[in-house]
Amino acid sequence: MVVRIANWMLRGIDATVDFICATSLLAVTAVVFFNAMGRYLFSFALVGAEELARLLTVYLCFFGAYVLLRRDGHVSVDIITLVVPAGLLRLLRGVVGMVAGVTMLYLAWYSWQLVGFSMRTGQQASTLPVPRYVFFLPVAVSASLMVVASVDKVVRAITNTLPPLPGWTDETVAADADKGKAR
Amino acid sequence: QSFNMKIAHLLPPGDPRDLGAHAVADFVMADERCDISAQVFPSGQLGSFTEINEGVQFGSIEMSVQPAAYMAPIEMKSAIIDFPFFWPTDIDELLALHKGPAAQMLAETFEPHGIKMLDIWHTGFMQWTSNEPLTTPEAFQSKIARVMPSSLMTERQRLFGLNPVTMPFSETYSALQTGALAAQENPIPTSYNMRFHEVQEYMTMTFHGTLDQFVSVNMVWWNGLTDGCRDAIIEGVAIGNAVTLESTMEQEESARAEMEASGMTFVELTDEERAAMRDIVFPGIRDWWLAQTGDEGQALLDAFMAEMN
Amino acid sequence: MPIAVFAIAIGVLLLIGAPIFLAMLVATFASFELFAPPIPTMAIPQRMVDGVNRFSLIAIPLFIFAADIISRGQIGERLVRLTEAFVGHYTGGVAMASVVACAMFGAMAGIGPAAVVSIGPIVFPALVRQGYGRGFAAGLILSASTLAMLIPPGVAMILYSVETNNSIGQMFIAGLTTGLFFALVLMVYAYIYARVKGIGKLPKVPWRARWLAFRRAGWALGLPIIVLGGIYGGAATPSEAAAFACAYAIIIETLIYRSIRFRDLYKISAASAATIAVLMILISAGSVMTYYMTLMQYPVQITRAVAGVSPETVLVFINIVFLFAGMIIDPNSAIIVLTPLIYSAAMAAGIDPIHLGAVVVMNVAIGMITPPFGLNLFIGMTTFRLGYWEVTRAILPFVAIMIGALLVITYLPAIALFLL
Ligand code: NA
Ligand code: NA
Repeated sequence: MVVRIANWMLRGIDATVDFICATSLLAVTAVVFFNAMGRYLFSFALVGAEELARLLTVYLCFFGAYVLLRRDGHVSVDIITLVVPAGLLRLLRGVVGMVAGVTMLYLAWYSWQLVGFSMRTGQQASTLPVPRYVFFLPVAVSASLMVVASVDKVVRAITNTLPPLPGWTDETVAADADKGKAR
Repeated sequence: QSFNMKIAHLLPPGDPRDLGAHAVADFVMADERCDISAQVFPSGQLGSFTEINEGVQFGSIEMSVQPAAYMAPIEMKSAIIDFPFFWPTDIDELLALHKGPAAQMLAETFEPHGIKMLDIWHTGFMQWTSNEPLTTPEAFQSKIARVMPSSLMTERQRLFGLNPVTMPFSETYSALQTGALAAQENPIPTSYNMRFHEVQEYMTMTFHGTLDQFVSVNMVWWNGLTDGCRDAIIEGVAIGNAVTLESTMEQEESARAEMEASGMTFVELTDEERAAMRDIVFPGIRDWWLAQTGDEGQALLDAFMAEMN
Repeated sequence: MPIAVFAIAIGVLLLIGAPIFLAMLVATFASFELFAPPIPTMAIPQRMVDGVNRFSLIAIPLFIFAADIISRGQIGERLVRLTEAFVGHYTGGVAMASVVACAMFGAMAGIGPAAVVSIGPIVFPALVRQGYGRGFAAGLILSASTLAMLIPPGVAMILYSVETNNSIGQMFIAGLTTGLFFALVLMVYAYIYARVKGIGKLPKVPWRARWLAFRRAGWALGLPIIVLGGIYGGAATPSEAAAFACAYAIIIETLIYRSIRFRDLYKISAASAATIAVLMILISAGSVMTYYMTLMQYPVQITRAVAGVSPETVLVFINIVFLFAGMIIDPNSAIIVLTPLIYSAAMAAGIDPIHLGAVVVMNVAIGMITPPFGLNLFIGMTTFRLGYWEVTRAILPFVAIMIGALLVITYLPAIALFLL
């Protein structure tokens, strides 16, 4: 029961974070595009546009890191993981999950401190009419979410319910190449 | 008791403010009264201007040398330093203002933000570079110019009639070269050190503003220093001020000579031309700034004006 | 001592399959806790955000998005067919055309990763179809993309010139000739490789079919024109050109080719976002690692270690230091932090400052693709769906060739300087 609720909540978080990432990228594109168009067609430049694009990129980076952690999509060195037996791989993935959990807890802790500090000083972004702490919020939120994702990984390693690694086999790549795609 | 002082600024080694920062570091390290180790981190090695400001506020950086424009997001009242056509173009008069009671009033505005502002270093007067002379208000109309990421600087360029675009300093050269930017403003040594004369034909000598630096330290760190250290740092900063000024003056001449030799044309303004620009830009900025800083802003402005007359 | 702990921690974590960004963060956080003078730890997340909160980086998400739209639609395929029709019958023709495309595209973006993610997804399948191995294709694209830093404009060269007070214009000219030399070396290698393996050669296409391929490319040709024309013509910054590329690709693919539906855009965007994050989080972790090394003044210590060496060895030393630095810290930071330290020694040894700039920039660029650690290496893994081991094996011959070419540049200053 607890597991089912936890899984249901994690899926909800995943969908939300996916939405944030996808819309951030569409928004970066739109902001840069319309700002450039405005400048050249109508001699009208929004000074904050460049900073807004950077802010959205920061969201893209840190929330995307969570998505990748959930899907085992971060780049890693596969020299050993490709050849070890399943039992040892499960152990290694559990250990990595624990390291990730502790590291993200550390990061989350200091990120929230930074957010709080920035809120208290009341500093504004340099050209965008938003408080500066909105730049730090994605690290704090995403690191916290990554703690949750890491706990999930460790639990799954213990209960042997880890999903297979999304290894790129020669077949899937060959199929992609046939369709004219690299990814 | 021993201390550590990291001094951060944004310009490359050899720039006047870098020489000033090194003068501070060398002086305090040699001084008997203070057991301190000091390092200068140039070129934004410890972050860009916002990160340096934050670093000084939470104490990961002990001292910064930053243009006033970059301190405005912390304290808008301090942006008075960037008023256009307001400050004397005579160096001695300007320096006297930097040391007077109004400047002290300005320094105190930083204290609620956890920052102790120790000194103002002069690093030159703003001039425009472009591919045509900018002697009349019409010449500025609708040109795309690089602006420092500061709301006052942006407003100032709008009043000139420009289209301000923010862009990091390291990208500005390419943008001027391709024509994506038509103009930029900086003191001569800065424009020279960034090699803008390679891609711009004219330097219009508007003297429309100063590019002055606030030297500030983390307040908690400052209060925790020994008296000997505080004295040594204050003396060191005064020496840094002199070194920066001397180097700025030297580079104003040598850089101008080299820029002229490389084919750049320097255009001087007549008093009438300068007055025409002033009438367009100054009142607008003053009112814009007063709208944000209110009575305290008015008091600071009055204090500086009283010293000017 | 700290540096050994740093290296061992990273090594062990990487070997057990931890994400690379995580290994970097663990080593950095541990070093801050164990070896650094106390600083407010809030600086850590601050520097991580700062690492990706950069003007010049905005081009990367936009180029990745554009490449994803193009490679799912038809623009890329039509452009590749056009190239094949004209150069496909020459031995190694498509491979050599890929080098040119990476050099040109990368050149205008000015940053190494941009060419990998923008040109890579389009030319990689074409190379594979021609019979080149996936490793060779990836290695060729990754190494050709590093030329972005040399062929002007480039942020790295500007930073070098500003740090050392040299003419950016002269540096650009030296970068151009050096970059063209590297491109030539890579093209010769591609030719020999194709010749020896007997691949990469299609039947000659008659002019009629070439004309058809050209007609078919039609709208697709607008894309390189917009991007290259926009930047070299001065109408747009690289990020803006990338945004134009996205908008143009969306319009052509949805309205004219009808190969993508509007509602697919959201899915493509979500998929691109994941690719972007792979890269951005590595850059972010790299910047906090760089911050630690800067604070601890490692570069100063390294440079002090060789004070007083004979002038002849200064260049070799510079090669080694910058190559190593390019591996672990981002190229621009490497130049900002290290150049002032080695510059006076190099000048004392009588090295030409512009020549030194070309050597420095190329070293840092090669560092980005040198195993075991390098940003472009990791980007290649995601872009071409290759495992770490595959990429490492594939890149080694290219790294060897690039280092060979680098030595030529280092000891024959004329290649960098002959136009000056
Ligand atoms: Na370039
Ligand atoms: Na490397």
